Amino acid sequence: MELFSFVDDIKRMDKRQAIYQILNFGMIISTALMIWKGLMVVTSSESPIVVVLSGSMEPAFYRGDLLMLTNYREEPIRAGDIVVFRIEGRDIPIVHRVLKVHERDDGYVKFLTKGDNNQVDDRGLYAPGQLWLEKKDVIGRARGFLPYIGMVTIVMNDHPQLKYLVLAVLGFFVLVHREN
Amino acid sequence: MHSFLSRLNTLFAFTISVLAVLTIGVFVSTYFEKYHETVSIGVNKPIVKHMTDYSANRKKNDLGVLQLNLDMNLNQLFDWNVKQLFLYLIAEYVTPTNSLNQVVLWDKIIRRGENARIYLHDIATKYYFWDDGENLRSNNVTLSLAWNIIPNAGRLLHVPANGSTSFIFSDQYTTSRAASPKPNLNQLFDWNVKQLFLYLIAEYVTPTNSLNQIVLWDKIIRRGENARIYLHDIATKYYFWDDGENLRSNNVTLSLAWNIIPNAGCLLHVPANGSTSFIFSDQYTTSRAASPKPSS
Repeated sequence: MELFSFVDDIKRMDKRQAIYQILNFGMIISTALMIWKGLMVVTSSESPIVVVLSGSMEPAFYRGDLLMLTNYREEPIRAGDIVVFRIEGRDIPIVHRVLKVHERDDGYVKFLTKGDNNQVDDRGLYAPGQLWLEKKDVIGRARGFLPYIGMVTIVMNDHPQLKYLVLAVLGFFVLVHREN
Repeated sequence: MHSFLSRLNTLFAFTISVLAVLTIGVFVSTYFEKYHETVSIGVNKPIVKHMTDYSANRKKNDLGVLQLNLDMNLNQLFDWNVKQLFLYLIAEYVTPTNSLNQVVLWDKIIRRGENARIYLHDIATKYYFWDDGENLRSNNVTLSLAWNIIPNAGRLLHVPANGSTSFIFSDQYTTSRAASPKPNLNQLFDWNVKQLFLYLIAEYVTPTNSLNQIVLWDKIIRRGENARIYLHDIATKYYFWDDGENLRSNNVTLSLAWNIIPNAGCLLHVPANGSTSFIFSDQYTTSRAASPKPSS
């Protein structure tokens, strides 16, 4: 069957070819990693691209939209900005808008956030006893937007078996595929 | 080359490529757009209260209370790469403890296709104006509007509008009691009062008639009903027709009275303490000039 033509490819592989395939695989992985780390440096953010996970910013952002973040120190956080932050002790990033900013002379800033689609501000979401967010909680400010692209991530997070399956199939094809 | 899988692959790749080109085209074609517009912001009656902020540190902080007037038309900001506008009104001020304070007092989402013409008059702020401290009295606050452009694909821009306004809070706290003394007729009800009939009389003089009295509003309060009335900016219940053409520049006195309907006894008419006077304008008002409301 034509679908399984790659099986013949495997039979014809010798040691040199196998090493070439593995190196090729390694190149792809390291290129992806370099791009990601490079983006982290350029944007000063620990997570330069995030996927919107909840509907609390509708109708601006829906689940599955992609956001590009920057976290430059010279750009202060101001009311109206869309920030992505993490609550201490939890690792889910939250995308909401800044409602209040109080900044002191010494540079200490505290601010309050609220999702566009929520009726109340985020004080109920913060850690117990926490009334304000600080600069250290912020992963970055949303600068760019692409719709729908992140749906793949959400589907794979909701169904981890799918993630492993896709990774396995992709890895397998990269390893055995040969340019003829 | 023509297997089912490779055809599927080609189709998929082509679709993705076309979508990518369209998306990039949409992004590039609106990259240099500035999205500027002029708005009009007004403030009425700014006062400062001193109360416990239960939503924050449970200490007594300053609470600013004011009313807003907003007038703008943002319909021309919507080009093909604008999915939505998020408008937000920021109050910015400085205090001895904080070198910068920004508080959002009002916001609004305008989606593509919705009417982007806003005319709001004397509205309360959407969010409380709590200070982080007690420094709002005599503070000079600047109100500015901005919008966040949410694109179909591209940059999330924050654009400040042209047209901000400033105001200064009063130097004294306002306590609830002083702000609006609410009269209460509950104590009029003794065992012989079956009902109160309240009526508001407009009394005035004209060249043709030496006395004119018109009831503009009335209300029945039965025994057992709540006799506390707080009505704000209501229309008159009955039309204020003059018997002639002499209302312009006329000094009219408004006074309230009640008719005590007893279980048995005298039907009393008691004028209340506290009347007010006003003078009508000296020009007629035509419907068009009175309330300019933009058409939808």
